[in-house]
Amino acid sequence: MAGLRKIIGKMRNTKYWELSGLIVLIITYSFIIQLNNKTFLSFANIINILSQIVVFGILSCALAFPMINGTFDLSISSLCALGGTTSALICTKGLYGIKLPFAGAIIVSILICAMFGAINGTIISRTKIPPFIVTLGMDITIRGVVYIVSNNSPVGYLPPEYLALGSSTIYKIPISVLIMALIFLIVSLVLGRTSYGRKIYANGGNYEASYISGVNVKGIRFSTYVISAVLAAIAGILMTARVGSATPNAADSYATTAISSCAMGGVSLSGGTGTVLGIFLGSAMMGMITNGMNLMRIGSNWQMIMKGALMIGAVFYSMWITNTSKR
Amino acid sequence: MFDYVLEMKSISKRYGGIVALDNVDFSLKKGEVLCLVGENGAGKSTLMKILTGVVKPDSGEITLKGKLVRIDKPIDAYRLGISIVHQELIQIPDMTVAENIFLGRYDTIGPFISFKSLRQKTERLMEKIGIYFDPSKKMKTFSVAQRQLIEIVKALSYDSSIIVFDEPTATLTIDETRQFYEVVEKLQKDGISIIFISHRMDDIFNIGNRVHVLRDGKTTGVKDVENLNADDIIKMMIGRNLSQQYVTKTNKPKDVILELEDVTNEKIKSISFQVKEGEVFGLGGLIGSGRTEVLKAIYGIDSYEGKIFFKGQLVKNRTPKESILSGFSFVPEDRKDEALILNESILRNISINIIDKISKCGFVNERLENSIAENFMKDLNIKAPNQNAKVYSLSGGNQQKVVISKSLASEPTVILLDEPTRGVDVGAKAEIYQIINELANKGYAILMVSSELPELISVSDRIAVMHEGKITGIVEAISSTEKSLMELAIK
Repeated sequence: MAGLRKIIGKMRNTKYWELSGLIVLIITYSFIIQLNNKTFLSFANIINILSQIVVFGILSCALAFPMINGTFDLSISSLCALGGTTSALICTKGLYGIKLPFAGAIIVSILICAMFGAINGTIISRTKIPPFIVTLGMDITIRGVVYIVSNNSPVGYLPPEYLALGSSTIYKIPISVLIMALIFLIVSLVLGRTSYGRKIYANGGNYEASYISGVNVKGIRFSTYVISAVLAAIAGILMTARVGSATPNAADSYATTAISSCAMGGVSLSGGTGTVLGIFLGSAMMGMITNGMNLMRIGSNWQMIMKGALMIGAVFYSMWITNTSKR
Repeated sequence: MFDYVLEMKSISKRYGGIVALDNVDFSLKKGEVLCLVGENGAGKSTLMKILTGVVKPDSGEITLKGKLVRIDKPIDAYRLGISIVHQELIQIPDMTVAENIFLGRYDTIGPFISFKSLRQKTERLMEKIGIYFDPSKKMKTFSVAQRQLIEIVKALSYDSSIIVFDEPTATLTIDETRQFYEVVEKLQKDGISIIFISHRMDDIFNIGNRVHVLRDGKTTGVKDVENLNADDIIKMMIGRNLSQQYVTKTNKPKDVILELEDVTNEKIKSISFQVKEGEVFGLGGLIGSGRTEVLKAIYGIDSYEGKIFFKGQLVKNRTPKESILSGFSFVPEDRKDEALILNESILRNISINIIDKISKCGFVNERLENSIAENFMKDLNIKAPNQNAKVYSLSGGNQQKVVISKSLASEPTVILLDEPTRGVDVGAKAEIYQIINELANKGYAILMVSSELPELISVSDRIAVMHEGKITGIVEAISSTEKSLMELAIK
């Protein structure tokens, strides 16, 4: 018994202890679904799940930066739509006269979203207006911009390179999934191993103390919004590629799913905590709920109940774990 | 048997691998004031948390007036007549006094709260201890000292026979403390038994009847106050003598390295002084006299007019970042709000000041980071399982050592200390004085703000005393007394 206590004691000190609940949950859930439908854990279905989480997985990464930094970004869903719509327009009909081949369209649309991110970042880092309000307002505004530029109609007839982004595979794994994996990897490296990442955590953990410790708190805060906008744009581009067209009301509900994934992954609303692995597992769990319940032929309404309940449960669990390790 | 209104027997509690209390026996006589004394981490707050139902002991039992009782949650303690007045008052600023006192227990006429009866009840309770505050005024309109007295009224409203006070005089002025002692004496006369957690000798010798000393989770002494002096108590607390608390200074100041000329801003006026390498320059004065503001101006947190010369050259640090880069570091007064990131590890708290220096191409050199932290933990004797332990789990003294490590990590030339031993227990205080002496020996220039006059006198070489934003005098520490400094502070 003492031996077990020692092992648990050692495991407690790793930063992944808080994820133990989520991991157990995923394993249990997979077990239950697999018993019901043997195809759940097949290679093809796993690829399926990963494909489904590409967009909001990347959005969770986008959200991670401002959230860990202690603030919030509610504008990611409309930025996602903006990225998809503008990139689609630029390489087809043209965006106010700007017409570029696929590669150029991607770059310009990312820059446009980055610009909006910079506006977010400037207002939030330089004024006392609550980030919640600023990004909420921007979300509505940007959504309006999306409707305007797309003229309220979807943008289709995408060039073949664009469609290839959404459908082609390498060794049976879709390129979009590989891109998502790459983004998770890069974000994990940046947040976990770089001095920049450290400063983001520090800022979120204690803004005042970071300032006194010499961190450029305003600059860091600003940069998180630019990064979240860029990642949201990338998510939008991949979403458009997979769907085959860009609709102006796209990604409407993705913000809440991204917030849930982050919360399940241990990112606290007050900032300073959270791991990218956790966010990935949170996104995976969300995807597994949809996929698994579909396989069991349970309707989408029940899936929503499941997702909501699970998010509350997961956050509660991770708070409970941190509290017991505090005592 | 019934002489003792409370008996806690064989109380043990561990948190993971750390033993907070080890078979502690604690008893309280009816109508007495018992001072519970001990360093931070000795177990006093754990013991009281067990008594007031916040925490459950691993083993042991509690008897009240001879009867065995179970205290599993705070409401159990209240119902048994035990209440606690916390150091950080738990009050709702925007509600009135009466509403705060009777929170959750409002008298009602039908579904409506009877404010009249609340008011009357409150006034009657206040009479008992000879104070009066308007029950219909909002809590936030009162001072900390007044709110503390109101908290006592709240304890009375539960018909408490045992009241625990947690460091109540820490933030009170001399007059407020005197009024507080009078209230405590009134409570005693009413037959209420009092447990007084305090570090301060004044409290113990002014109103204490007995003293119960804890060290490292064990009882080291339970004695009547009249047979003791301060040295006896300190010895029971830390196992050392009072005279060993301060370190004999061995530093030799050299040339002037920092000079302030007419530094002025909203809070400070025409500040001019010089600090030498290897010198400890103390800043004394009453709270609000501007000492912290002088440090903040030097460190770039506040702007100022005037000149600051560093190593002979004119400097103007506009942000903390610039200050750190040019060789300054700052240990702020309020480490929890201004210096530490509480839910991060010791390692990451120490490295944040120099995170860019130890990174190559943006990637943190984790091996270097670890060895820096290990060295500091060893040199400053920071007690923790390892450098990944979270800072919130450390005692005040160890937390302060982490902040000091942080400030030393950037290899500064000038170190600015603001109340470096505030909220630090006696043992760690002595260690910090040792650290300051060694730093001065090594040639660092140190500015130290302190409100503890004995500390100021024994640690500094020279002292500048401030009053209302101006310097009223710069004196040699050796020839200063508490009286002479106080005279300068109120000039």
